[in-house]
Amino acid sequence: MNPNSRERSGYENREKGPRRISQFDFYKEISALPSGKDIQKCIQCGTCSATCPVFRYNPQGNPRKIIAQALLGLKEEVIRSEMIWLCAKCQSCIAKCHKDVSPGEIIGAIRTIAIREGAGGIGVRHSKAFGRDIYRFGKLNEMTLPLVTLRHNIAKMLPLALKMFLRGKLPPILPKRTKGIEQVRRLFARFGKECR
Amino acid sequence: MKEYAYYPGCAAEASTREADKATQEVLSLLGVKFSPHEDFTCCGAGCLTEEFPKLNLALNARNLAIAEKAGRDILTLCNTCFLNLRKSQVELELPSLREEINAELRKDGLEYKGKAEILHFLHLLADIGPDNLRSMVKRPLTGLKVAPFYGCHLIRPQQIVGSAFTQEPTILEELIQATGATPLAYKERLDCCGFHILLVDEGTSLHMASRCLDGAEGCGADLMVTPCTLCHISLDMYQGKAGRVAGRRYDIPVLHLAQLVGLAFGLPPRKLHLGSHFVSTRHLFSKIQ
Repeated sequence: MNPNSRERSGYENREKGPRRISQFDFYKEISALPSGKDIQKCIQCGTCSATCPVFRYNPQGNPRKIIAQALLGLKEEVIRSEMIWLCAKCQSCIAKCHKDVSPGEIIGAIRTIAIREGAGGIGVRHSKAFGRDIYRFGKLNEMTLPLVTLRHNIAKMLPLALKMFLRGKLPPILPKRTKGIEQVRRLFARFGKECR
Repeated sequence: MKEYAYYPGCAAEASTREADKATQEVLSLLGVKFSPHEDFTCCGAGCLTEEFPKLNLALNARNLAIAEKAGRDILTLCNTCFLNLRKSQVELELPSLREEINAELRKDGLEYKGKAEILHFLHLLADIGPDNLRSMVKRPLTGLKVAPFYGCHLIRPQQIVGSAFTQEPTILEELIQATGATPLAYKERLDCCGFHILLVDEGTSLHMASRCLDGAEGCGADLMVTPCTLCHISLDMYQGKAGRVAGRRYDIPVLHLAQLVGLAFGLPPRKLHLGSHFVSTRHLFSKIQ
């Protein structure tokens, strides 16, 4: 084999690359989404984690760390982790960040990529349930949302469901279908490519 | 008088129906005209946008265009609906994006021009003004100590929710004062109830709710009041569970804003569906002087 061939030099390899190297572009993938556009402004000051009410009780939910790992290109670690699904969307970090990074929005962008790349788990199921329900009814189905999200762990909801039933608070089994659902489904076909 | 397109939100159509009913009662007492639109869809609740960002935008553009076509502003009961519709409205300021979505909406005779405004029930009351509300009070709630709880999506982030609320909002306190009750100051009034991770991470969510309940209890509140239908789920329906996580028992009734105002307007408790809450509201009446 020609010793000067591009294959031997490793040039080719670097282009296809082992996944770890190419993933340094992960931040570009995030900043391509409108909600992730400001990720590069992050200086890792940690204001987001200091203000995060989830982090106060669950050390897994650490917005600064999520952004650090994303900037380091640890794509697989980030998108397969449960930590990105812990955000309670309280908007505190978005309001407090003095570099206007909007950490909460960036977590949203990472969630988008995770879903696109076929990640699974409880957070993905919860998020996807909305798309499915809105496609069917135009509305959220509060009856099936816990079922779809929790699966076999649904048993823990039963005492609550019984209490809701007794107080007349149980959601209707099927929500009232939105008028013009065909329009809604056409928008799904046009703008929601991955949906049936 | 102006008519509003009524957008109660999925929760008020399912597990917090009492908020919907109480609000309708109060609105008709106030003489505010509103009409339901059966073609509104869910706002996406911040979840749909994770799976399909552009689709979420298109659906909200459709919602806003429907209100616009009827010449109405949207009136919602849910903080999350308010924030997500507002977020879409801000994103739709981009002309190219707006045009792309409008091209699709025009097939149904709709067009998003950005004319319809989005109001939360709290904004509506703020517009009417605490002083005008005070003149309508028939049963002053004197003696009731009320802990106001705003809910995140009405107050943050400021570039989205607008300047209606400053970083230290006081409008809920002013409305409570207008009913004759006493608003209490406590640190957690602007905190997060944890609703949006109730299903994904129940433990953390309950800790967050218990922190808010602790704050309200610590300042000696007889009840909490919230403008948000989702906060109500966390604080009322999950109050027992939150107590178990915190190793204590709470007994703090949580009222929807419309229920508090309705009570002061002299509406009977049954019309406000006060009996449908998990935490009993019965002993409140003995505290009104």
